[in-house]
Amino acid sequence: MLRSLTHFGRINLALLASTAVVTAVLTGALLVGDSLRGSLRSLALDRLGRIDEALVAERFFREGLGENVGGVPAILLSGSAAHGKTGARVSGLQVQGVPPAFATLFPHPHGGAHLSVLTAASGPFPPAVVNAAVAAELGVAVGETILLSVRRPSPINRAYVLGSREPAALLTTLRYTVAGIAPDAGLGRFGLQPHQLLPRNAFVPLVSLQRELGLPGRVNALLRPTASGGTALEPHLALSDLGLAAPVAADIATVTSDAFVLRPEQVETVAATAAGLGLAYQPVIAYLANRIGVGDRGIPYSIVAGMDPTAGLGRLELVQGGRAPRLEADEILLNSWAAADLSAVVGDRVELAYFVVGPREGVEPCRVAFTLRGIVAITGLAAAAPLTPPFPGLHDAGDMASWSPPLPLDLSLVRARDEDYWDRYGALPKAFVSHATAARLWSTRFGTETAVRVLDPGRIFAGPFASAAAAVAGGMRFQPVRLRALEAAGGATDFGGLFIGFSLFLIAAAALLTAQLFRLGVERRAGEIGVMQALGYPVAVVRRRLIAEGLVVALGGGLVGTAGGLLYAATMLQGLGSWWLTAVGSRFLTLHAEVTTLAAGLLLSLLLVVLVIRADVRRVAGHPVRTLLGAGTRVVEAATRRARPPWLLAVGGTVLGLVAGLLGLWHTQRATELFFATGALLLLAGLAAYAAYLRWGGRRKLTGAVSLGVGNGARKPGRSILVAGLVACACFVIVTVGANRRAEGGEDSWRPRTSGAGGYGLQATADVPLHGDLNAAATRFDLGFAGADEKTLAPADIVPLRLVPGEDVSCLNLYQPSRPSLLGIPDVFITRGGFSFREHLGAAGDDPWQLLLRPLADGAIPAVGDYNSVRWIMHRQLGDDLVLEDAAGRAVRLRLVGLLESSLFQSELLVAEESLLHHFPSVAGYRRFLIDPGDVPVAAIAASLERTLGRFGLDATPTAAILERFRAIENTYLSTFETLGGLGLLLGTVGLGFVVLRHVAECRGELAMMRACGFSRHFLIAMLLAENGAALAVGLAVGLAAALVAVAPHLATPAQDAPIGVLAATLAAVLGVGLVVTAAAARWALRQDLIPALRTE
Amino acid sequence: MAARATEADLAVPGGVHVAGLSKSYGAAAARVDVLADIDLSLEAGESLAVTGPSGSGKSTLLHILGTLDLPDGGRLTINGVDPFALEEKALSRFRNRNLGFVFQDHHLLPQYPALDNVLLPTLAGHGERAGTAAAEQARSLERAHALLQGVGLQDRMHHLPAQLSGGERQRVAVARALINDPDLLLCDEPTGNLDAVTATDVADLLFSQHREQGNILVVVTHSAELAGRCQRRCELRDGRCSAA
Repeated sequence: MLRSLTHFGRINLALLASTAVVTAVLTGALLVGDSLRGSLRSLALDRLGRIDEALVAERFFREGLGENVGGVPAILLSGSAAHGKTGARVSGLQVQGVPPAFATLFPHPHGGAHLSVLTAASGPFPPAVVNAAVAAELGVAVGETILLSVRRPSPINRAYVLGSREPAALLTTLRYTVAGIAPDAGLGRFGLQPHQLLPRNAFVPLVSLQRELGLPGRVNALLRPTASGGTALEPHLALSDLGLAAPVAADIATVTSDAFVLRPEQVETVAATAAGLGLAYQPVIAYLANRIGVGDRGIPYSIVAGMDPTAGLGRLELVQGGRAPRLEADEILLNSWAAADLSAVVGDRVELAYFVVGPREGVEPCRVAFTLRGIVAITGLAAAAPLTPPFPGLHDAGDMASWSPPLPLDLSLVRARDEDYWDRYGALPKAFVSHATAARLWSTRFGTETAVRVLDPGRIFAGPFASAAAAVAGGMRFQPVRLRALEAAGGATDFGGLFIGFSLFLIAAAALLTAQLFRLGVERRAGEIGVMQALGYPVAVVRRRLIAEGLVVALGGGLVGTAGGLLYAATMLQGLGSWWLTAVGSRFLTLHAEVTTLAAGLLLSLLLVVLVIRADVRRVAGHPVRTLLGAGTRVVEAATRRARPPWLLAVGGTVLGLVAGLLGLWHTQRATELFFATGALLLLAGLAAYAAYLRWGGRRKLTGAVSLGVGNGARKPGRSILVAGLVACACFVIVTVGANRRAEGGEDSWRPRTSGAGGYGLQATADVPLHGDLNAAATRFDLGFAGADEKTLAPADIVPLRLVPGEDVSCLNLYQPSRPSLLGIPDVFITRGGFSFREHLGAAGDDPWQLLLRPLADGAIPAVGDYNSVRWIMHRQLGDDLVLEDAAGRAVRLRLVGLLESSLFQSELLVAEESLLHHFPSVAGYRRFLIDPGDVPVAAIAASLERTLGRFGLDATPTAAILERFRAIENTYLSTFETLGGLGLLLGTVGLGFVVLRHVAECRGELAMMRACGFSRHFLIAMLLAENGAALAVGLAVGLAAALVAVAPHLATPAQDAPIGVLAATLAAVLGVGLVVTAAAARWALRQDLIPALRTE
Repeated sequence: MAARATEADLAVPGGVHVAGLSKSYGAAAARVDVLADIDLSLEAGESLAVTGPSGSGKSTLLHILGTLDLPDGGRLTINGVDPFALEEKALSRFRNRNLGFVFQDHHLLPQYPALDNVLLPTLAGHGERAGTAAAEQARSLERAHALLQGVGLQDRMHHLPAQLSGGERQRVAVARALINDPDLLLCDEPTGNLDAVTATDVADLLFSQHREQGNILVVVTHSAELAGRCQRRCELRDGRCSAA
């Protein structure tokens, strides 16, 4: 075998090289996948340190809970930072209030040691540590001061009528001294959301943040390390951790919430617990009436309670004696104080004025009239405390007039007698309506009841109820963040598969090259094969010997290629690191090589090569011995009968292909199907035409080297068509992929409503939710817009969107997202419409946006996503369901009813605002804004918004820039594919050289005869050039023509950026290299002595 | 570098003249003198059979006469021209215009029908003898038809080689060799692959065409019968030619 290997050394060396290329490309592609997964995994572990589980709650709870369950307590808030002197600002900041124990979660070298300055530093302001990214953006150095603006927590939802929506109440701005700068790794990269983007982090002492927020001893997060042992949370939860209280008076426990309104599941738990214990319970609704009036007499700012009489829980007694009657929907009771103050008598019309929260979270006045059914004495239930939960700010106020209400109340209306009532009775209700009436009037999305009274003589309610309440604690759960991060590190896209796809032409070209080389080698040994068989060697033995020789060579090539694969992957990663940097924003990719991947790449390559070799050996060794012995290298001869020329296929395919192409111009809904139909039909038709020409039985006009060469293609029509077909397919794919590149949007590309920006020029995102309608001058005034900024913003049309934060589902996030961010879109957006749907579940002519408002029979929530994100990142399609958890931890099913075409909304899913609030009632305010700037320049609006709302962490970005980031990723993929596809095509053209060598080897006799007949060598080179050049040119022409027709509808749309120059250069290079390689191979082959082929002895 | 001779420079009287021709393979001790001091003269209308045992140099002599191989020594003139003094392009043209070959294997181009195979030598592109290219092509086509008719294949001229019998293919090869009306027709075992009957038919064809054309016919053969039909005979032994 060794002698054979060395005897055919040159061809074996070439075979080894081509196998090395196959292995290198295949292994390299797999290693790219390994590297991405490995890099994402490293990144995930790096940013989590030793954290295994995390509990991040909407509300604040006892810091001491951490000690019970083995977690490090912390306050995690979003916010923004500004340089103390220059005013430079960064938004999207994660502010972490951390205790010293937090440092233990991040071991050396990029760990907690950087936080030691938080305890050691002393100065006028508390110390802060920022990561290098923040320091660089702010231009801040150690010792300088920064202003951190964070959301001010509020137990009462800010969208509730008693919630504080005043801009000043929304956030707290704190001054800190930068005591240290953590590197952008380990601790500096800390974050719980899986994303490769570098987070902006600031760490401050927990105590100082608690003090500044007015929440001593309270935190909103627990971070538990891997070795914690996973102690259960529920047994350690106290009612106060859930924001609940259950004071007992006169054997009656009154369950209230610091959110003022109890959540429905909390009320259900109270009811279930009470029922389970056989205890009576009574839900109560307390509401603030701005005025209780009878005629022109009125009492300002009073509590009205809605409840029904319940046995055992006290009763309302009429002043004249007797139990107060059960009230109808339009009936009311006044207590004796109120009735006296109003001089009211039974039967009078009593009018209540109160506020409700409107659709944009502004308060709206309402009025309702009742008939006075009775007057109750301030005894028994009417004097029970606390029927009303603590009013924020009011309970602590010395008197009513000094209350700082979150509502537009006119406290000047408060009289001395009202103050007296307050001093004597506090927030005791002055009027009573039925529970049903109160629920009808004052029910909110957060809940209805403000208290539940339970008969609890045994004081047992606090114990069992605490456990039961903990079970429905909603967000009070540890999440396995490490496990999820590692799962997500699998990536949204299988990059190994993707790069194999990208490198497909390269792999195919190298495999075909290997096949050509091996075939050349085997055919040269046809005589040897014949002799061995003639000497009695079984065919199987001959085959095995040749395959074994090929395998030895292939193994050598495979080992070389494995090393090459590492180099190939490193090059690809380097390229991605450069091309992607602006889009993914982080240089995090490093080479990761798994032994199994290297072995798989090697084995796959060897398998591929062995299959090729085996097929060749079988084919050659399958010829009769006589043929092998007699023909030498001329093993195969032309068929005795020509196949029928497929003219019908050629003409029919062309006509159908053109029709499909034309249809594609109009039927954009079916663009994908028509694209593939057009391409396939025209490719088929073009190749059929070439086949028909080659198989045509008529006489060709032979005039010289070119016509003779072109006609020679008919000698092996299959081979000519194969060459043309491969080139045509590669050319088609490269051109169509190139044509799909999208152009950078122009300055006004956002204006068309059907564009990806939907006619919105600007998108703004705030870290702290904003309330009210930014289109209203009053809201803008409250937020601080004045002067030029107010003038700039006034003409703009601003659509606010609700945001449920989650994971980025766009191609910008390389992790596999499982909890997408949700945007709640208001009716005004749905009515306005805009954007383009790629597909939707509605009927033709329907407005797809309206699908979001149509309830689905099975209770699923209609949702809209961007096609690219849904298809390629979430791996779902139109009509699929997606199950998420709502605020209470219950499963919510979203159904994809429409998919947008390359839109602004690639990072999240869209649902109707109403649906979103139904399932995520605690979402208050707006964090996302779409802005139609009208005639005002986008940049001016962005500047105005950021100047005034920067403290809320508002970041305004032109929609064109957002779309450009998505486009950059798409174009990176396309560029990679084009580059590797082009390389494959070029390598394929090198293979043409071996086709020529094979051809010369097969036709030595004829070529020698032609030399004898007086044909010069130049003539023969020209003939061979024409023969292979024709197949190459036909392939290019067919591929190009099919591609141009197929992408015509796409090119007809605006914002396309087909890189015509690059494509033309690639195709010209392919043609040029193909011709040069062919000429060189022909020249080399014809330099050999052909005369022996004429000898007979 | 000295200029190569042209055909005009080397013009001497017509026919084929070989003087002191020698050819050897290998070097030193392994050297084999295949041809040694061969002298030979053939005039138009003459036919010569070259015979001898295998390895005696028959094909080598034929290839040198056909200018496909270079001699080590001696001189060859064909129609008064020393072809080995010509540059490659001129040599190709000389071969195209003056020589015709028939080999044991027909070496027909399988992708072209018989007619195109016959016309093949006219495509060598050496400039045409007279008139326009179209007129020349028409003349070539007419001659190809005539030749195919002459070899009895008037009904098979549009058939592919694979659709012809062995004898028919060899007859096409004969017609191809004659298309440019060569002065010297060189045949290397032209009937070697054929059965006896077909071999006789092909031999009849060769000699009838030779008579009609009045060219010089040189046939390398092991067949005594075929050799016997030639006017002269050269038996090669030990590199030397002896008239039989």
